[in-house]
Amino acid sequence: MTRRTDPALILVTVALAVSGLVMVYSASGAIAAEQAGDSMKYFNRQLVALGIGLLVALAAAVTPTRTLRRLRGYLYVGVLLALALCFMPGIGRAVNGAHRWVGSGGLNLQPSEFAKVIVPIMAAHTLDRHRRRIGDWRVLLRAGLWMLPAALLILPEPDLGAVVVLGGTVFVAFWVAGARPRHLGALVGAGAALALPLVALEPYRVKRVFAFLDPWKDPAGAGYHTIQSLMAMHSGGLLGQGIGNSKAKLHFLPEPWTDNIGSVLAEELGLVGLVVLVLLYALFAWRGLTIARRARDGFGLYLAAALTGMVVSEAFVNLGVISGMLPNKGLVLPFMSYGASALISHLWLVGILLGIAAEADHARPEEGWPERRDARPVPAA
Amino acid sequence: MKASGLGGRLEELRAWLAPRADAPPIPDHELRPRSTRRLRGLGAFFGLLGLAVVARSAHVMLVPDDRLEHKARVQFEQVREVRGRRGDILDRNHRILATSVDLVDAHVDPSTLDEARRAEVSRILAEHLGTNPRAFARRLADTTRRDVVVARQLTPARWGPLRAALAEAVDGWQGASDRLVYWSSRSAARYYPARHEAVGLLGLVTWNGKGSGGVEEALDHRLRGGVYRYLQWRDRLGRRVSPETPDVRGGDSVVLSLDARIQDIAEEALDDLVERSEPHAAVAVVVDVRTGELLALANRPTANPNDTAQRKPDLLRNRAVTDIFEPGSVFKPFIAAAAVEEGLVTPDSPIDCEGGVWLVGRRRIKDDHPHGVVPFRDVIKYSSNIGAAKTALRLGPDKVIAYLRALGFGRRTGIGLPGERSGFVRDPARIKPIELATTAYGHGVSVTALQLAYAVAALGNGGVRMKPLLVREILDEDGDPIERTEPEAAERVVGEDTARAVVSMMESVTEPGGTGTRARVPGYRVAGKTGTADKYVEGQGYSPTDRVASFIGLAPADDPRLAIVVSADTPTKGSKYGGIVAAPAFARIAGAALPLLGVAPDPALLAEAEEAEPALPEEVTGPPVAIATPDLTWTAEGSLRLPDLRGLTLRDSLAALQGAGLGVTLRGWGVVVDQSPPPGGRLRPGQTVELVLE
Repeated sequence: MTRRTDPALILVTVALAVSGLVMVYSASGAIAAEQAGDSMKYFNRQLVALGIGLLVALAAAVTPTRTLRRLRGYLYVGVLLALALCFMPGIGRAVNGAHRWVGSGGLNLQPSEFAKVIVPIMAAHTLDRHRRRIGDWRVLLRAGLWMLPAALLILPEPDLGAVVVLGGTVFVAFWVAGARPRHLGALVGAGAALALPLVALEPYRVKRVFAFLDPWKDPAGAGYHTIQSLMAMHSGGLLGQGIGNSKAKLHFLPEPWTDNIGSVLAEELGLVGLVVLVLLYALFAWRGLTIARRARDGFGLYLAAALTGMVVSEAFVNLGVISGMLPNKGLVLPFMSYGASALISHLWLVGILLGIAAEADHARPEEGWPERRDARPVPAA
Repeated sequence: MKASGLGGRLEELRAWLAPRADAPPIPDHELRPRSTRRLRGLGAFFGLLGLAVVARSAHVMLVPDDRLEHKARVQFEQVREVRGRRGDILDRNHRILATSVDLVDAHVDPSTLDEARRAEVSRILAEHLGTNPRAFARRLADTTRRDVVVARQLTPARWGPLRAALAEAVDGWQGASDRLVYWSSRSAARYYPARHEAVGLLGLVTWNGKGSGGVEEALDHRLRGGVYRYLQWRDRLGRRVSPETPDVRGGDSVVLSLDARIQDIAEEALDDLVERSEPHAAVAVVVDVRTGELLALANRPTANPNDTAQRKPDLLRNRAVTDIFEPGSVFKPFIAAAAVEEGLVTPDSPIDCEGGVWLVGRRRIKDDHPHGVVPFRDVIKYSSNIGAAKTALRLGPDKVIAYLRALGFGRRTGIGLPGERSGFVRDPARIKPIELATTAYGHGVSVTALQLAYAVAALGNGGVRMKPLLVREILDEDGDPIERTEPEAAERVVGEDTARAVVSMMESVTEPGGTGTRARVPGYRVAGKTGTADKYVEGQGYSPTDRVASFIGLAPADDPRLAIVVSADTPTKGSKYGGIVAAPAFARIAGAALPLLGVAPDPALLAEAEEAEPALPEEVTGPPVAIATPDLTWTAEGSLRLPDLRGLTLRDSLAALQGAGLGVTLRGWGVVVDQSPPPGGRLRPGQTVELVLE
């Protein structure tokens, strides 16, 4: 069997990751030099993560989807364990009161980043197994239930943003699997009903949610982040201040090399740079959806669409937050933000997409998917 | 069916969740097209998200927003100025009168300190700066501040150990903050090697680098270095983040007409005057008669401008320029000049001094020393008010005032020093006879010492009044001359014969029987006029007790080179007469300054003086100032070999380099510890010596 790949997707990913590296260096250099005496600190770490991530991606790209499906249970149990370990003293690491990391010393991993990839694998598998009964709401429930343990472990970290992305990702899988519109509508309603009390219960979330609507009401407190980001973007203008010339990164934006890297990019490269970034994500989405369309089975299609949706929604939410369009969520800008877990998990995701692309089926959709040896017989009527 | 344990319950759940087979299964050839359609929908939705982000970002980034821009300016930007080195002020022989020294300001960030650390930092500061630790603790108590200047203008020698001690302390702190606890900034200080000399004339430089008073203010635009303005960014901790330290053009140096040696003499003469008579204030002005160059200008009281604690406006005033007074009898020679020029009198014309009392209208004019009919020259010699008043009344108001104005009274001299007053002479159209009469002996008019000096210099210069000249040359940063001012005549006031006649009348003042015998200088003929004016106090009229004692004079009388004015406001000890208070200072200045100008004493006069007046030895001393001999030697190629300056004080090292045309860069303060080039090194005139002092 000849393996095919998707050069455009690889190019887009590399372009995003390399510009991410540059931006991480630009955004962190000054502070890293001051705090660690080494302006390359974050850059070097990100470089290492990029190397690891590329290896992971390569491995995933040559792994048949069938193998991925076989391993799904181990992955799932493993990530749940890791999520649970975040709360374990000695192994879990809390930063600013958030229990999002495991590990010690130099290597810290954020299991929720991996959960965002693994849960869709589970959901896609279930959806594919019962794809012919997609009209039955119980199929959706079964697929969606994989989210529950992960969400229960991620929510108290707390990391509402990751749960929302997870929900969105699974929702995309439902949508492309052909779920009935009224079921999907009910899900949106239920999700909103579930999210509202969560937002209302935690006062800091309420503040965050409303601060973006009028950041000037409390420019030094709840609105601080939004204003700093808007200022950075505004000073960027059309063409930007030039690479390395951001002022917002000088302690004004909190950790400008992570979630706010987009503001720094906008300030340094201007609207032009930002539009190029959005176009890169658009290219990514186009390739991802194309791979989904050509997937040789339902699993590949649902998973490719879901993972693409995840990247797009993260990018959208992140850029929406920094431009003051959405409430403040702690979400990375995929491939760009500093963070080993996110970079590695996203590169793994690209590897999975390439794995699906490698098995592409160019038959006309009306012919269905080719028969597979491991496909379960259709349950009798 | 009974569920057994968890497994059983899960089984139950699975069974419940099993899709019901109540609808027919959808075949793949239907599913796949449906998914493909939905993928297209998804793609369209993603496209909308992208458009939304771009639209929103474009709005934020391109639409002007005053609120954001204002906040950004306040938050990020700080207009910073870097100034070039301020130029030096030099005397006519390039002796340094004012120069700039590099010093350091020490800063501490209180917001990085907790209580224990604050105490430690305060202790270290107090130890090195010699103050109470509690004073520093108080200044560092406000932890919302991020930048407190704990010491200004430290010499590098003091900052070095302080920095080392702070570094040691901060390094020892556990979990030290990421932020800087202390740092330093450069700060230029102005240094006046001659200390109190010519303070009022030179002025000062304020903390923000602007000249204040005197030459520093008048020529601030030249002395001041170039300014490089740039936007300095600040990070959130308020620190400056732009690393650039642009090299800015230094200011020009100014070569004054002043002669530091004569200035020294004038200062010492005033010191002596102050000691003898304890006046409220005193001034001495020395002018080169032929060129109008100001050679010396001294004020009392004075202060050491290097010591900021002494910088009080009253001590630093340039009184010779900014203070007006009624001159009294020193005014008589000017009336005499007018009368002689108009052909009204000759030095020998008889004039009736009315036995000491004369009525103008109903007002009485009195002479201290009554005389009858005397030759006109004696009106000057004996200082007769009645004789002067009669002369002025005969001349008439128009002529009197016109001559006074031509001599420079009632208007600024144009020397260009800040705060100069114009003084006051009456309007000839409205002057009353009694006012004209009093004007003749210097009452009802007001003048500055500088005006008097230039007026008497005009008589000494054959009747031609010279324009005041203070700035001879302006040198650029590298010491190359870029501007030069040549002496220039302002106007002819009286004819040469008249001027000579008046000077000869003034010479009689210092001859036996005159009021100014104490102005005599062994070996020289001198001319002058004493004045003892009742002091006019604003709002109270003439003081019954206070006097302004003055002497104006020219030396040598036969070919005047120097015009000297000495005036003492309200002498409180001993005599109040100008001939006794001020004349000795004149004699001292003239006697010491004339040899410096190359005017040798006449041996015949010298011998005569020894016979006739051995009674005044303390007032006529030789050149009082020993000038440090430069240890500079010239090499055959015309460059200078530098002496070893190490161990010398700043003042002495500058003295050693005088007159060689070398630039001097100073680092620190105190005693020279290093020099570049090293001893024996060669330099060409115009090149710069760098001295490190501690």
